[in-house]
Amino acid sequence: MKEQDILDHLKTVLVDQFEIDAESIHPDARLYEDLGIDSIDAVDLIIQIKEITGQRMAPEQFKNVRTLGDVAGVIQAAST
Amino acid sequence: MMSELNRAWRLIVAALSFSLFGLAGVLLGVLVMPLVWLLAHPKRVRQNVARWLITRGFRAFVGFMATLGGLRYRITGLEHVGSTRAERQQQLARCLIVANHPSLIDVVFLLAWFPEAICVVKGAHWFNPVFTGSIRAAGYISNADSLSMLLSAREHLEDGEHVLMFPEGTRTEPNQPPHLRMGAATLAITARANVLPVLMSCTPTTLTKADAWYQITRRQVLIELSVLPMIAAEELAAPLAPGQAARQANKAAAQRLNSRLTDLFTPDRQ
Repeated sequence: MKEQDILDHLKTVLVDQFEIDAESIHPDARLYEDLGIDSIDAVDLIIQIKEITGQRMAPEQFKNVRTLGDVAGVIQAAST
Repeated sequence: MMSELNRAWRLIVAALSFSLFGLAGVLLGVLVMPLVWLLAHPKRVRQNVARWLITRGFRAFVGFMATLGGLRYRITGLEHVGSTRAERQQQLARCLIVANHPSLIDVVFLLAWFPEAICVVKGAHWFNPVFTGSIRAAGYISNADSLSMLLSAREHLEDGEHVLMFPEGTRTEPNQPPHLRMGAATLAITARANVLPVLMSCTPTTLTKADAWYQITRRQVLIELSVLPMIAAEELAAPLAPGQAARQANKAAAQRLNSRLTDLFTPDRQ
């Protein structure tokens, strides 16, 4: 999957399901500090992304994920 | 006089026990586990073999310490998880076992009595030569990164396994009420797991963060492992649907569970 497609998917989910401002959403946005996403939100987000993209991603790949760009990176790595 | 002799004897047993534990840990990690990696396939089998080795070793170690009079122990409440092996397996499926952590020896007892549990382990142990070989082979979960810990543990629970976790993340501060971090409650709610609280006690207190190994207590230590009634996932009532309202409800449910567990783990006597 192309990185832009992944970011678009993420943006849709964040705006629709997490009620986050579209303007705040960019690859460098930090999940916890900038978007206010805590652990419960993050797990939910990742599950939804898995369902949308159909990708299987190992939990270890999410170590050190801090920004949206990091999340997109994990998803992209899983689809290659 | 007798009690001082007994105390001296228990110091010897403590020294022997620590040495044995350290040596066995290193040997297991450096000699046995590589063989397990080589010979046991697929991954699931390798992990089961590693866990069996670790937990049988722990059970033997408990027997060693008790037989030599280093400590006494009492296990209660196992009937809360069924009376036969088959019942236990069924009851423990999708179960998050949570325990308080008053002393260093807690994990040994918990894994000895719940040998198929997947343990959430302090991240630092991955770099400790006594533990690292065994932990990696067993496929235990690191608590270093909370997101990947939650995702891993959730996956195992969804596969029907049971996970053992210390909500405090570290040993309890002596003489303080337990401080439970949100990880365990969050996991229970997001995975819709049943929760089995296990209350550990150590009387008189020893092997806390404040004690050195050679500070031997006047009276012989009694370790108690008390399995409390299972808290069913339905009682925690977290809705499944995605969306902000559901997430808020989940967060509130996690807070309530955390308070409930804190109460269960707070001793009423000093």
